[in-house]
Amino acid sequence: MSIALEDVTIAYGKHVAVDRASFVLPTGAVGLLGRNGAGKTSILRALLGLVQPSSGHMQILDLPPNTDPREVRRRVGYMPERDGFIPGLNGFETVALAAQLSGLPRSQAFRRAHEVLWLIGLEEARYRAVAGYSTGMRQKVKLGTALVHDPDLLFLDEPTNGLDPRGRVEMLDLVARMAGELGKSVVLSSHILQDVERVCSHIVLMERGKVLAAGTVRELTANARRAFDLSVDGGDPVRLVAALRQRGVEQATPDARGNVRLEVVEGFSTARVFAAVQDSGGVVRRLVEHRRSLEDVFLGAVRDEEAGR
Amino acid sequence: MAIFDRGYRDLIYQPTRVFARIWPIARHELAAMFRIRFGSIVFLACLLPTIGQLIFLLMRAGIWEAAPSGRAGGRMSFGDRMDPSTASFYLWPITTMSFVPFLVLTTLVSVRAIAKDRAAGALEIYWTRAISPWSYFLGKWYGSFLLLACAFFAAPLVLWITSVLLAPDWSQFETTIGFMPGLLLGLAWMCAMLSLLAVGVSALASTPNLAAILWLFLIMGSMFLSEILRRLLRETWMLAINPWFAGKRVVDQLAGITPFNDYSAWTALAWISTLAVVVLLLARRRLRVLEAVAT
Repeated sequence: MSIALEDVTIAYGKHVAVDRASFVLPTGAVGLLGRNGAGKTSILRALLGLVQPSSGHMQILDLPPNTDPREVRRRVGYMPERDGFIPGLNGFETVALAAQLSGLPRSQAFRRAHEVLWLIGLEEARYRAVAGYSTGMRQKVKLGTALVHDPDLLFLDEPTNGLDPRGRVEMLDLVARMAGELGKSVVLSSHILQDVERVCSHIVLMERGKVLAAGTVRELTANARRAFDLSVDGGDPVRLVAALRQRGVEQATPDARGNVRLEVVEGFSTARVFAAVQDSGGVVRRLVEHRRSLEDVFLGAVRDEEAGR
Repeated sequence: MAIFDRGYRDLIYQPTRVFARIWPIARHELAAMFRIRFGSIVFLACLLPTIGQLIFLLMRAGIWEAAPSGRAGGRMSFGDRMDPSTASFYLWPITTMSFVPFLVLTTLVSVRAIAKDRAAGALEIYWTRAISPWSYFLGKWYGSFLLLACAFFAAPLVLWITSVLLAPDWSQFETTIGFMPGLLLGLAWMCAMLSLLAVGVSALASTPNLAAILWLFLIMGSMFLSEILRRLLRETWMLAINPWFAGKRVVDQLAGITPFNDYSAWTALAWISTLAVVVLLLARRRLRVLEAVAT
């Protein structure tokens, strides 16, 4: 376990950014997923000791961040969301300075900066001013500054912001490599489902400061009940739904195009579906098992949250 | 694993002490002036008064003999300014001639130090490292102090060493050693306080241009105000309202010079210290971590 939050509330004046969040994050690649303003960045900043929670307890790398924030920051690499750079410095100087500020001696910092710039693919541009870099290169420099002091844990806040499709793929490959090959624990904060799904094995879903769900991707996308997508030619849709319910289908939801989403219990035989369609006077055109995507999970959790409020 | 395989090397190191983390910030601040050719030219231009004095010293080297006794005290006269055995010779290029160079150096570097980082969104990068906002401020101030000290402390020191080496015997050294430590201490103090004020003002502003305007307003505005109040109230100590004049008065006192507009050096010291405390208190508020990250 690298991070644990218990009933953490973070407020900026009257605005509550995070509301009693509790979760435990394992080592490996973890995604903080939520829309803009969900409270992801606030949690990262609180874990770095930059923002004081108004209540609750936190632990990061077995340290309470409020007690010794500088020690925490020494062991954590943070790639901020905001597009910031140190004016007047080139790529190499930026990364080397970040290393020295994190506590590396000068010679180590310089050597390490060259290595990291090579690793992230900026070796050719390292002596150019960062102010003249493209957005993708600046994102890479930010990743380099987060990585240069060999942290145990990496916080990446919206690392694919402003990147073109190719740059996005490159960045995600790098992040995946950090978590896999290099054995770093990575917390990836993003509002892009595909990014998180591609890199992370464990996900925390957040919305309006609340944690909606947390678990592995497999756990979150696993259906409690089996579901099927059914397409039918002909027949009476009303009779079809009635026949399906009669034959043990828990829920049958037709859409505007005549397709029906079926939810059934484990052990349900699809032969009953064919029989029900025959009873309604139609013909089965397509019957496939439906697997929930992360998007379904997220939208479902948001719907549940809004219904519960 | 070799780096050319795009590998990754685990790092084992003992974290450095706080000063080792502050020094890189100071070094970059000091180097900011010399990153472009224009900055180096401006810096050399700022040294012109001292360079002029050095040339004068070299020209006199062949014919000049040091006076038997140094005249540290007394009012600064034109004769003293040209006499290497007096404190005025070393101070005149700085406290009298270098107001504009001071304004140029502080406006181009010191007062932009923190404001440019704030405008570029760099504060979050600094403060998510293993340093505190005060360490960051200290680094910026130290770099700025070193820059001013190069122009206004090291230059007269070089001038003095040259005068001692050019003299035919030790008499120049014996004549000047009485006031030189006080003079150098005063100049170092002046550089430290003025750079502290400039970096403090820089911490208050959100953009470098705003910081420069604030700084020029503080220095030039207080200069006009002090002159007007001095004439209206006929009180010479009103000059201390201007940080440059106040600093100059303290340096004169430490060097043993009685200035033309004489007033208590304690007044100048108290005023510049109060100003520094006020600026630091305001800067402290603006440098809170939350202010930089929670926008």
